[in-house]
Amino acid sequence: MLEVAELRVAYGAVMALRGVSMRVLEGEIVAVIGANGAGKSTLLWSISGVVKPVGGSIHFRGDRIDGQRPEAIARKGLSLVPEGRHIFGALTVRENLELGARARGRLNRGEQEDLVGLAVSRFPFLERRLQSPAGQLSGGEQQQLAIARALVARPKFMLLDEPSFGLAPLIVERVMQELAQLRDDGITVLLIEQVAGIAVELADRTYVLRNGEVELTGTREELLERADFAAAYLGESYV
Amino acid sequence: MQHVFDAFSLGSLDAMLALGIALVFGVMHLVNFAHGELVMIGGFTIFLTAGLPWPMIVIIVLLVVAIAALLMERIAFRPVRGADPTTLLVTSFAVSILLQSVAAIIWGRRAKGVDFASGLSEPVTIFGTRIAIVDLVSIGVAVVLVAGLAIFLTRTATGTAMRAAAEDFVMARLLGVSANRVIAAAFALSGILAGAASLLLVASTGTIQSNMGLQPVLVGFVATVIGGVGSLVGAALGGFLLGVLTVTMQVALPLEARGYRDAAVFAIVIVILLVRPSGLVSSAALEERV
Repeated sequence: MLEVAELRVAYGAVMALRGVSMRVLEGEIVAVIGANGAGKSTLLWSISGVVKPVGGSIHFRGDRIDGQRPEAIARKGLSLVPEGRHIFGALTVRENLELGARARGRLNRGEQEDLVGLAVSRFPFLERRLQSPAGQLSGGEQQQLAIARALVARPKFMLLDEPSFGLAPLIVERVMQELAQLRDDGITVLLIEQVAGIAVELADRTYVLRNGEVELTGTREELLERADFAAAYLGESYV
Repeated sequence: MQHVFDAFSLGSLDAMLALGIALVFGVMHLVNFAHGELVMIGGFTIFLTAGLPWPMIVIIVLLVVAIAALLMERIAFRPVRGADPTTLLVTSFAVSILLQSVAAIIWGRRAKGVDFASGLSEPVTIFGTRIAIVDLVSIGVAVVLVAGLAIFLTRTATGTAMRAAAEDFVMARLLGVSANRVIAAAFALSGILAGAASLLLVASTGTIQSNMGLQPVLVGFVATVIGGVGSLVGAALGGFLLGVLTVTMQVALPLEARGYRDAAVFAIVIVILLVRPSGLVSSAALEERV
């Protein structure tokens, strides 16, 4: 479904990605983990069209998308939930959701209402907050709104950047349940996580990035078999 | 009573100018100093269409200035979109000087008299006070435009997308909002506001000049700063406040000190900014983007 080949991204003289290749198959949850500065977020921004690569290619469902504008990529069915949520705090919760539905093209009022209803059925707390400015929601609620906003676009593929960032453990658990639910809904997921334990637990396959390169890749079982991986990324409890 | 109308009339004009500047700044982080030249283009369009019935002049001016704003975006600003603020600022100065020079080459630098809606200078008596019709029209036009803009921004899909883009442009694009469309909409609206300002300016002064946009754009820019750069509500408030301050100083200062009216107004502006450095209404648009 998504194929990244030999992707190279530079910020001035600094190479952030040095020939990253990866593949995400339809219906999979694939995680990308790595330390700060490994190139995880750069990979995600490149796939979503915000950062232009200097080499390599990205194909989504057979179309080459590297170099295309972010809005054009979004309209192909690729939704991003960025780190830090990036909800529109001055807009109401309903307006945030309606904007999320824009990627589906021009919708009439009824279709828009159906999509807002879809978000509310998934995240019931949103119903009584629809007219509130989104900036008044708590961090956990904002994260769920960000996922709901991506969901109303009815995406085929979701990119999530550190959805656990800054959330209480209980909320993280709820968010992860939501991500597992995405797979059941037939949405393919690429998950960027710094908390490797969360990512490996949830993902079908995981890529480990280091200094802009793929250091390791494998299924949960394959990675856990490697003592060096467990020690470096999962901590003592896994070793 | 008359001073109240004067203050609101001047404030209305300043608010229109400030809103035009703030709309473009919101989505592009561009302080468009060439906004004044849109006012100038409006002025010369009135000059060229003089003699036509006034409703036609109004429609032609609004249309011409909106198209000029769209062309300005397409030709001058789109190629430097995403560049650092200094590049954008220098580009806007270049566009401003270029347009002023072209107007000066074609029509000369001297002011020209224009007979447009001169009947609006006549006073009417309301509650025993004589008020120029143009003052009432200015207030009415500003109320209609601000209300229309508020409805557009809150009730339409493009308006919501513009507010979202002003808050977080990259995220708006990631949701499928077209950058070109949102920026073009901001320029077109800014052009309509500049066109309306030029109509009111020419109706009250009866003159046009190649540099006629300079003073209004400076006033509009100061109004956006007082209001809080990036905030549309702030821009409108800043415009009205500046108008009220100017008329208050005109009335309050002794006759011999009235030459220092603008100095007094800007001294108060400095005090306001010392107390509230981010302006009356702070905006999320100035927060760091992705």
